[in-house]
Amino acid sequence: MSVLMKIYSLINFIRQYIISQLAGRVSLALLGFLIFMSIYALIAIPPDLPVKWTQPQAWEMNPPNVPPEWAQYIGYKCLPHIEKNLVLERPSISIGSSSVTLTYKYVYTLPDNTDKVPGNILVKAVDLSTPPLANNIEIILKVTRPDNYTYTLFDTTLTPQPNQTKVTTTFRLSSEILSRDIVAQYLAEGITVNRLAIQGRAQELIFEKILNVTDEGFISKVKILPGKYLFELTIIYSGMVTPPTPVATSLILVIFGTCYGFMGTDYLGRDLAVGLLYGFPIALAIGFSVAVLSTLIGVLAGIISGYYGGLIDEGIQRTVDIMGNIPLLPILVLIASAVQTASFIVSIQDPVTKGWVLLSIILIILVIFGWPGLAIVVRSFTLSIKGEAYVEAARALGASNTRIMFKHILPQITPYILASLVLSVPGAIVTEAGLAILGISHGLPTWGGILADARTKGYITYWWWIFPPGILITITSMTFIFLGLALETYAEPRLRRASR
Amino acid sequence: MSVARVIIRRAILLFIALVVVVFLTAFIIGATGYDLKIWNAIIIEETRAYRESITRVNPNMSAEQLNKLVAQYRSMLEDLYGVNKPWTQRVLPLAINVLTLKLGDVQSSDVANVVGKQLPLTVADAILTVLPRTIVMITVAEVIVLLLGLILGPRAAFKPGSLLDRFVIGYAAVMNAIPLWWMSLIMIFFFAYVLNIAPSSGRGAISAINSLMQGDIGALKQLLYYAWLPIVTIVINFLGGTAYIIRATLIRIVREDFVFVAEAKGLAENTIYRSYILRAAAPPISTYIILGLAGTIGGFIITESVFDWPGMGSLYYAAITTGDASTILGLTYVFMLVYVIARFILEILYVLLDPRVRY
Repeated sequence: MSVLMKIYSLINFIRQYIISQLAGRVSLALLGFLIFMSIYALIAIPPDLPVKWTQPQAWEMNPPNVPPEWAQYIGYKCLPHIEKNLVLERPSISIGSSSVTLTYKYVYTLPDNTDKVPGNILVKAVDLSTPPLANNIEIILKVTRPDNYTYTLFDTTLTPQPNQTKVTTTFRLSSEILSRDIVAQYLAEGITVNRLAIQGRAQELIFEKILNVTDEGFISKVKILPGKYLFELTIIYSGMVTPPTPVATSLILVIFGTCYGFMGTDYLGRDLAVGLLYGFPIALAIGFSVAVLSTLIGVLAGIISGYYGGLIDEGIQRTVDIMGNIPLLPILVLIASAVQTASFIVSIQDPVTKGWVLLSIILIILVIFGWPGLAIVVRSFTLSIKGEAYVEAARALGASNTRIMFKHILPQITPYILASLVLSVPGAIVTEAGLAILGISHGLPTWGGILADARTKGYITYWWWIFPPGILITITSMTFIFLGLALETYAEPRLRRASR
Repeated sequence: MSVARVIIRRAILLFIALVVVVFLTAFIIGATGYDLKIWNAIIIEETRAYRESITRVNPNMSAEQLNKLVAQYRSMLEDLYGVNKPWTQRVLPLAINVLTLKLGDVQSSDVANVVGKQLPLTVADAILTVLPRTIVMITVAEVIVLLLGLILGPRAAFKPGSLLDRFVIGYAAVMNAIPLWWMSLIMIFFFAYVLNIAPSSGRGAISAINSLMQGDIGALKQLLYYAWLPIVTIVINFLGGTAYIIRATLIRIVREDFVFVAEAKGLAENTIYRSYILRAAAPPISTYIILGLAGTIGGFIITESVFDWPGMGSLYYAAITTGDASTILGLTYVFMLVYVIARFILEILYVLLDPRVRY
């Protein structure tokens, strides 16, 4: 019953003091959004994301530094991102005297109006079978262009190991092989091109036609060649005449698009949508843990200081004075950068554990420096309430000091504490992000971390990478500032008249 | 008599705060082994100087003998600085060094780059060189913010609920939510890359300020070219908060009983404003102004590095990213020193402005 009563009075309170104000309504809507996104993130994102976030190879199949797919609606020309699992196709098989060859085909169409070409091409083989029977296995990727030039993109030979019947590996473009083919093709047409000049931009030249070269053989003019490109992946098992079944769990041909996903990617090809989504629960956890802990300490220190007076008061007040005279950011930066090089941090091998430890240390420092302001205010409230008649009465009835402090004085200050708690939530989020920007980074996918990468690893024009984390930080801060504004009019009756 | 006592008491307290912070800092960087970097750099520097001086005095000395002497000198220095001793014994000398402004040498060429000079360079020189650059940008911006805030804030406070008042509240809430350094990135994106009417890096300000300091007034235009975007950004971002705080301070006083009494007595509005409201509002508002200005001296670490403005903030940033411990420690100390001095000025101001403090 009493729980129901409490819930009822809470709803009543929210209706009376928060929903009645515009700032309150906006903040409640935003808070709902933040909480919904956090819960969704915790459900939808696999818990190993922080681990994956620190591993570049986990993201190698994504195009790096590309805008989101919806950028095509704001004037970007997007090439689609292709991930084709070739194993699902039927290969053509030819059997020789001592070898068997499997060929998978895929036709890629480069649209007519494009101004970009795919940034990269690779093949990711999962559990490619490497039977010990085979002498060796040759994997070749070739492309035949609309103008009938054929380039070899890579040509790799694997030697089976006796104890390993499967390998998972990524086959990448070899610009050496590719440039040899390109030079040979143009030479057949009577055009001499400098091989080194080709090697530098071999990836682009898969989809481009060289129109002009200088006398020294450097490329002076190229044109994108739209049309159908036939990709052929050939796997030759020599030393055996029947192909292994299955050849692989998957053989994914990746032709990098120039747009990716809902929020684009960063310099490692990491999907920013996932990172930003994961940032929701982390941001709320950072904000709330620091706000709650520092408020708790501030209230305790203030109430004890004001209630007991004397030496305790003097001690707490002088501590507050000294803490209040320390500028936060420089000392935070100093501590954090010193801790980063400390031996007990460096000795942690796992980057994710290290990240969490570093983040916790930053949060602890924020708590340590976060409480003194509130303590001063709570103390002055306590001083004035202590003199009230009802406190005297409670004492006369034999109430203990703890009971008086927490049952009689604290409830009087609660509105103020609540407003102060809510207003201190964004501070920690913004400071954490700021420290990340300063290079005190823990490597976890927080909004600040993503922004910091955008600053150091990205480029100012990568708007999809710079704008969203900042907008999310701003929305989160705004939620709590608006909520604090609404609560402040409740805590400060004198302000209430002002807002009406 | 009592005034002096109040001020002295405050001064002692602030000095204690400064000492505590310096010891705390020395303690932290000692416990984490960060200070070894500083001492080792000092030792390397001093042995190098020693080697040079020997070869100058005695050019014919054999390499073997020279190395032996240098090694001796080196181990003497290591003993002196306690590099091989436990870190607890190094805390005191480190703290005293800092307190007496012996800040050591800049170790990283990236840090020297921000200053616009070559190594070797002392930390004190580096700080003195970049300080004016921070003042012409950040402090100027803060002054503009304060002036505009002092115009907007009172107007909002005296007409609560008016359009201007609601605008100030809303503007402050939104701007408080936007981190300044992120807004700086966005401003650079629009004004430097999309519209191409501002420089994307403030490094060019070095030469502008140098020629300005040699008396070339024409360089002012060049300086303005580099400084206008950061200044505008800071003003837009900070004005909301400043106007809001001035409004909040005044609104509390406007609703005090003594103002009602003055109104009831029929005093002229101007008299009430000058002798009743401003008098009471002076201490909190001057606190805000002076601490705000003091805060700018340290530079805005993140914002300056975003604009690549070669001031105190960028110096700090370069020191952090290159792990230049002596520069970091020196800058931290200077930041705190400025802050403590500002606090002390405030204590004196309180005594002048608020008669209650005197007794």
